[in-house]
Amino acid sequence: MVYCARCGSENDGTSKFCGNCGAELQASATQEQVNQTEGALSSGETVPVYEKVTDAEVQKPEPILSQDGEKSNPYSGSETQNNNGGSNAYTNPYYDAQSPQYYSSNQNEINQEGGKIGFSIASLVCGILSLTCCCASILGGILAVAAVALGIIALRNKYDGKGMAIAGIITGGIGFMIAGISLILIGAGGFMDMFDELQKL
Amino acid sequence: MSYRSYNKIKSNSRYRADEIFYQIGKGFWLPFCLIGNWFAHGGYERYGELTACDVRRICGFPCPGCGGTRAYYYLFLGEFAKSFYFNPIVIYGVLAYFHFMILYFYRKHISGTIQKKEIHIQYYMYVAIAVILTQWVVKLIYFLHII
Repeated sequence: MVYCARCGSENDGTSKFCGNCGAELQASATQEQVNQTEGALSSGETVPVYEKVTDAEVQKPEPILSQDGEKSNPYSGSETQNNNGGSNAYTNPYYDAQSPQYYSSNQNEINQEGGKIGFSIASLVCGILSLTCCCASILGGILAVAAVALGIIALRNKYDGKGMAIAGIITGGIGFMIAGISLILIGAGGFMDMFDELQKL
Repeated sequence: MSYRSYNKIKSNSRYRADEIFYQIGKGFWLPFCLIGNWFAHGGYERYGELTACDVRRICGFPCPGCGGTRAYYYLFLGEFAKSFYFNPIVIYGVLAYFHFMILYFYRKHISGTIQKKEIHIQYYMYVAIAVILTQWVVKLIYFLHII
């Protein structure tokens, strides 16, 4: 039997991850370790004493008044409120209700949902080039596939430039159709030439 | 974190389409003009056959890019009407990109309003798509003798 170090739930000795919380069980305490600890405590060894430093976890925080004067719990609320530390117009003089505020030391964590407009731009540029370069069937086909793929990536991941991504997918689709028709006809022409030569033999 | 530093990070973490195209455009114009000048003075006669349209040769009908090489050739010969006649996307693309570069340069270095007003590059592209598809439909109509 293995106990999870994170949530304390019991797991099989063969399992690698906790069935309750999903934490890795390699660093968890086994039953033998627990028994050893209990035995050591019962034998009269010294137990470390932790000094109480603050009452932060004991004291219930005062509710913060919102802009409308309603009381709100600072420990509850949406994800945005948690990200900006429950900031609002009452507590923060720089509060801007139109745009969400993020407080983070890591710049990469900011604007994770949006941003990356480059995918949409690349999709649209490849789509337009696939239309104008479909004279060269293979190049037009490659550009069309790139336009559709980049547009789908931008739409699925909800990057900026949704309109450009849609336009890139449409133009890439038209370019792919034209390049595909010409490639099929090239292939059919080559097959017919080969068939004629075989008939001559 | 102060409000000013938050705004600095936010502006740094988001790429703007107009800024990307301005940076591309700074390295685009010189090769474009050099190749066009070479193309108009001997390059087209030598290598024009390589740019022949596969779609027209095999399928028989024109593709959306048909006439682009000739339009590029006549643009650098100074015959703008012929360039427009063969494929208007070339002359539109040059004018649109030139307009964008001038507007961005003015807002960045003269009026200083580029941070407040983003130039929506996508509208240039939507018009380009409309020009390409319109001229293609017109060519197809003439090719199929519908009119």
